[in-house]
Amino acid sequence: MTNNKECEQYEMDLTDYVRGDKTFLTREKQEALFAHLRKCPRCRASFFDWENAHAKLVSQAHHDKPETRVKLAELRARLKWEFLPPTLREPITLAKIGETAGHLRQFLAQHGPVNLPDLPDKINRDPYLAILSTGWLAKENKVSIDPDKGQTVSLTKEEMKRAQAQA
Amino acid sequence: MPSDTRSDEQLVTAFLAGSPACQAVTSVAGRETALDTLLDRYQEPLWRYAYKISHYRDKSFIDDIRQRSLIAIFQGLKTGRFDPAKGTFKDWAYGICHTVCLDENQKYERHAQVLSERYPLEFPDDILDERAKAPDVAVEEAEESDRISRVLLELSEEDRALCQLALIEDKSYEEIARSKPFERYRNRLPALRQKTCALRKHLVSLLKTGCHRGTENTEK
Repeated sequence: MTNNKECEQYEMDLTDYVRGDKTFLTREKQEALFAHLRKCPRCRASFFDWENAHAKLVSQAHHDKPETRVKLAELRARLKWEFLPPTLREPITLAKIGETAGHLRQFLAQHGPVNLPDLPDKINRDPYLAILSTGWLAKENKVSIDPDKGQTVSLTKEEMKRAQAQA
Repeated sequence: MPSDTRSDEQLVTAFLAGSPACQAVTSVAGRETALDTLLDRYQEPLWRYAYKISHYRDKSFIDDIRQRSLIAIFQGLKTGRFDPAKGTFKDWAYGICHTVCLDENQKYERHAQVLSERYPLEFPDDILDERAKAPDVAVEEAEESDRISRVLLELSEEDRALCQLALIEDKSYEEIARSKPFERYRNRLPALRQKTCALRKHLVSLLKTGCHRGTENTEK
């Protein structure tokens, strides 16, 4: 059994351990804290409460940052891309694939390389159509897909020259 | 916006509905909603869990652990590795996060060679299990977030500044005593330590008061 007096002497060590501040928390003090936590259920509960509260405070501050929100939005998009089939918004025909390929070629000529998962939104076309038209252009050596750059789709050099000449 | 009241297991079933790609075209909206709700429910709790058990407090490092965990979770769902007969989705998801965390910790140690700088001492294994089960997941993340903001507003200006420096940014006592509102503690670090400990106790009690739902598990 432990008593209040004994528990009190670990309160500051417990605070510091979770904060990761070693100013006062020597290795010996940490070991003594662990030994106390092993035998004192009340301090263990207090430790877990503090640790959860601390994680919540830090997490909230971190998730309030715009860059974290952007990171999370990207992760969500990636998960949807990997684990959900794209929505088929309209029937697919060869003519539509051809039309989308033309639109995609023009977009790449004007805006440069695009990450494959972002392509449907960028060119504002059905995801199936966007992918099929990318394949169409790739087969004709008009676009290349670079897996080392996050599956980036770009016009080949020759096609870019042709597109610039036409413009 | 009304929250999705379905259980995790119901959401998993909805996410997996019509798995073969040819059928999925019709059910994709339902699958997307299920994925969104599972993400809303778990993205922050998993981050907090990783933050608690990771040896390193670098926030990008914790972001990476969360990302790897979520990808592994959805990959596992898709390939049928989650069996509801063997346990809840929550335990299974946390188990994956735990494994990813240990794996990343090992990699970090190997590459960064920072053993001497390790965030205090590792938590002892014999109480690690109990620590992992310490309740955390909030019923509603948005509700939880509002509550924390309200609690911080209840503090005096000086306590809020100390909370920011000591309990959120984890500055050392020396660093805190170098900042303007706490310069008077420059040669009295033990007093600053005492004040921080008192604030910690006050804050934990505020966070616990009248918010029992926030410290219970979500799953029924």
